[in-house]
Amino acid sequence: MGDQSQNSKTSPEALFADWMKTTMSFWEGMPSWPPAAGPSSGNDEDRKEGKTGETKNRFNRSFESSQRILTAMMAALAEPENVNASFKSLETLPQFMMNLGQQMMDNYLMVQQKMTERIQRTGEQVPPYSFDDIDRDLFKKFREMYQTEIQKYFNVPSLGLNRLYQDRYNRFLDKFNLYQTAINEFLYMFYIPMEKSFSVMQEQMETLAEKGEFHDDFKAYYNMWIKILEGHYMTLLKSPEYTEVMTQTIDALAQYKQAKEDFLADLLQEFPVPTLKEMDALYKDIYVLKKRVNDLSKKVEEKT
Amino acid sequence: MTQPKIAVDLIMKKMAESTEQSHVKAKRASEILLGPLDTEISPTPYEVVYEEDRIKLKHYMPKEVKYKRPLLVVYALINRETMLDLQEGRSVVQTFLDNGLEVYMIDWGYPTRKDQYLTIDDHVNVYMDNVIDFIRKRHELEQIHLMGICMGGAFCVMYSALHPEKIKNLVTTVTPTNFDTDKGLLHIWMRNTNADQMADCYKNMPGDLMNLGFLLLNPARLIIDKYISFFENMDNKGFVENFIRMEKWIFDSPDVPGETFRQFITDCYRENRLIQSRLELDGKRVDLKKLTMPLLNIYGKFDHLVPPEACDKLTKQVGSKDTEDMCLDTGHIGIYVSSKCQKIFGPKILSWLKERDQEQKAEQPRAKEKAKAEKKPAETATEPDAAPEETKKSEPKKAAKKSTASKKTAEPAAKETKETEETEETETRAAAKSKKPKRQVASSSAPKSTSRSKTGKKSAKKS
Repeated sequence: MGDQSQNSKTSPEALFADWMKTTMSFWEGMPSWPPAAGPSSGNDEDRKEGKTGETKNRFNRSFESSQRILTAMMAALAEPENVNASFKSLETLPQFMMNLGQQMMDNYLMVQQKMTERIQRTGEQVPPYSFDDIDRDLFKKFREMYQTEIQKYFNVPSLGLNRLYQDRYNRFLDKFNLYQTAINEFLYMFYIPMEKSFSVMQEQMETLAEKGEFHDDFKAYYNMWIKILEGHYMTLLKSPEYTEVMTQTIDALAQYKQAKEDFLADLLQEFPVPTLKEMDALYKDIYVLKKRVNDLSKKVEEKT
Repeated sequence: MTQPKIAVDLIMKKMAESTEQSHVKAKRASEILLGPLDTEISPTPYEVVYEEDRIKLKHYMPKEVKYKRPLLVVYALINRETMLDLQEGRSVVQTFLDNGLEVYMIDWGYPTRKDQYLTIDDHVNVYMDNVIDFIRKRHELEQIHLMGICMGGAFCVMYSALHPEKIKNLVTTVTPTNFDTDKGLLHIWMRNTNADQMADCYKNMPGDLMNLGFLLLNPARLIIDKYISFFENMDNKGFVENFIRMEKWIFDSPDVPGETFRQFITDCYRENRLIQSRLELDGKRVDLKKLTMPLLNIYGKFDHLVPPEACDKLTKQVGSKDTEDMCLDTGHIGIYVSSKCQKIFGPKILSWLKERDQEQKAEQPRAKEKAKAEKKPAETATEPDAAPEETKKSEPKKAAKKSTASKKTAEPAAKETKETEETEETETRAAAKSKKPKRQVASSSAPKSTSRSKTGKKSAKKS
C-alpha cells in the first residue's frame, strides 16, 4: 500500500501535476509589471506629462492579462483528466514519427534489396544485343516510393496570403525530384550498351586468346569494340523501352523547367525587371500587330 | 622449347613503339594546336541584299553569269546554311558559281524569344515570298529557280504548291515529305515527342537540345569514335582544320521558333499531312497537284535523319510531269560535303537546271506578262504555271524517272558518320574567290534602309 502511494506520487502524471502547480504559483506570485526599473524613456518632459505612467499601465495590463491566461491554462492542464490527455497527445508524436520512419524504411529496404539483386547479377552472363533484362523495376519502385511517400508532402494544400507562392515553390521542388528520378533512369539505360559491349568484348578476346590469335595492334581491338558498342546502341535506341524512358525524361525536364520559371517569376517580381511572362505577352502583341500591318500594307500596295 | 600461343614479346614491342610514336605525335599536335589554323567556314564572298527581321538574303555572284535565272537556296531552320560553303574544295556554292549560276541563299538567322510565335506560314508565305518577290523584281523575271535543303526543302515544296507561278524549276535535296516511316529513328522519336509541351515550355526549341538528340542517334560514332579519330590525327594540320570547321558548323545551331516546331511535329511527323496534300498554311491547303514545275528530288541512300522512304514519294504525288529522283550513296550531310558527292551533286543540279533554263529564252519580259495576266485573271488563277503553252509541250516527259548513282552498300549509320567526319586534304581552287564578281543583272529595288554586308556592300532592308 505504501509502495502504491509512493508509486502514485512518482508517476509521470503526479510529477507533471506537481510541476504545473509549482509553475502556476511562480507566475501567480510574480510581482506585477513593471519592476523597479520599469520601461521609461528617461525623458523629463515625458515624466512631466505623465506619459511614462500611461505606458506603464498599458504594459502592466497586457502583462497581467497574459499572466492570467497562462495561469488559467496551467490550472486547466493540472486537472487529472487533462494531465492524462496531455500525456496521450505527447505519446502520439513519437508514434507518428515511428509510423513515418517505418514506412520509409520499408521502402528504402525494398530499393536496397533491388540494388543488391542487381549487384548479384553483375557477374552473370550478359546476352548480347538483347535488352529484355533491363532492370527498370528498380527505378519504377523508386519512383513509386517517391510518389507514395514523399510527393504528397509537396501537395499539401497551402493556406493564406502566400498560398500561391508556396504552391509554386513546392511544385518546383517536386518537379526537380521527378526530373532527377527520370534522368537517373535514362542515364542508367544509356550506360547498358557500354556494359554489354565490354562483356562481349571480353568473351571475344577470350576466344581469340584460346585460338592464339591475339593482335599486337590495339587499334584492332578498339575497332572491334566500337563496332560492338554501335550495334548495342542501335538495338537499344530502337527499343520501345528506350523511347519510353527518353520521352519520360524529356517530359520531366520540360515540366521541371516550367516549374522553375514559374517560381523564379515570383522572385523576379521583387526586382524592377519584367518577367518572361510579361515579355511573352508583349512579343505576342508585337507579332499580331506586325502581321496586321503587313496585311494592310499588301492591300494598300494592291490598290495603288 | 614450345612456341608460346600468344606473342607477348611482339605485343610488348608494339606497345613500346606506340608509346614512342604517341610522344612524337603529342609534340607535333601541340605545335599545330598552338599555332595558326585556318578554320574559317563560308569563305566565298557574298553580299547581303535583303533583310527582314532576323533573316538575311545572301547573294553570290559568279564571274560570268551563264544562266538566265538565279537560284534561291532555302536551308533548314536547324543548323546553318554555311554547310553549303564549308570550305574551298567542299563548297556547293562555289561549284554553282564556277559554272555561272547566280546564287541567292536565305540565312534564317538566330531566332530569339520574340520569334516564338512564328509559324510555318510566316516562314513560307511571308519571309520566303518576300525574298522571292525581291529577287524577281531585282532580275525583272517572272520565275526563278528554287532549291530546298531538308526542312527548307519541305518549305520549298509548300511554297511551290502555293505559288507555282513564281517558280520555274524546283530542286529538293534530302527533303522529308513522307513522315509515315519507321526507317529513321528520328521519325520514331519525333512521333513520340510531346511537341505542345516542348513549345510551351521552351518557347523556341533550343538548338543545343536538338543537337544532343542528333548525337544520341549514334552515340558510339558521334560521341566516342569521332573524337578518338581526332586524337589519332591531331598531328595532321589539314585534318585538324577540317575537323574544326565541321565542329564549328555542327554546333552552330540556331533555335527553332516554338510554333514552327509544334506545327512541323504535329502536322508533318504525327499526321503526315504534307504528302497527302492535307497540310494547311493560314487556311490555304498545300495541294501537291498544283506543284507543276519540273522537279529534281535528290536524297541519300544512307541518310539516317531523312531516309529515302521519307523522300521518294514526292515525285509521285506532285502535279508536274517532269520529275526526277536521284539517290546518292551517301548520308544526310555527306551529300553536300563529301568530296565524292562534290563531283556528282552540284554538277547534276547544274546540268538539270541548264536544260530547263535554256527553254525559257523566249520568255516575255515581266511587264508584258503582267499585262497579260491582268488581261486574263481567271486563266492565271486556274493555271498557275505562267510558262507558255509551247514551252510546256516541249518539256521532257520523264515521269518519276529514278536514277541511282551507284549500287554500293554499307552500314547506314557508320557510313554517314564516316562521311560527315571525312577529312581529306582540301583541293586548291583555281578560281580567285577574292576578286569582285562581275554583275550582269542590275537594278535592285529601292531599299528602305541599308546595312553593311560581309563584303561591305549595302543591302535592302524591310523593317
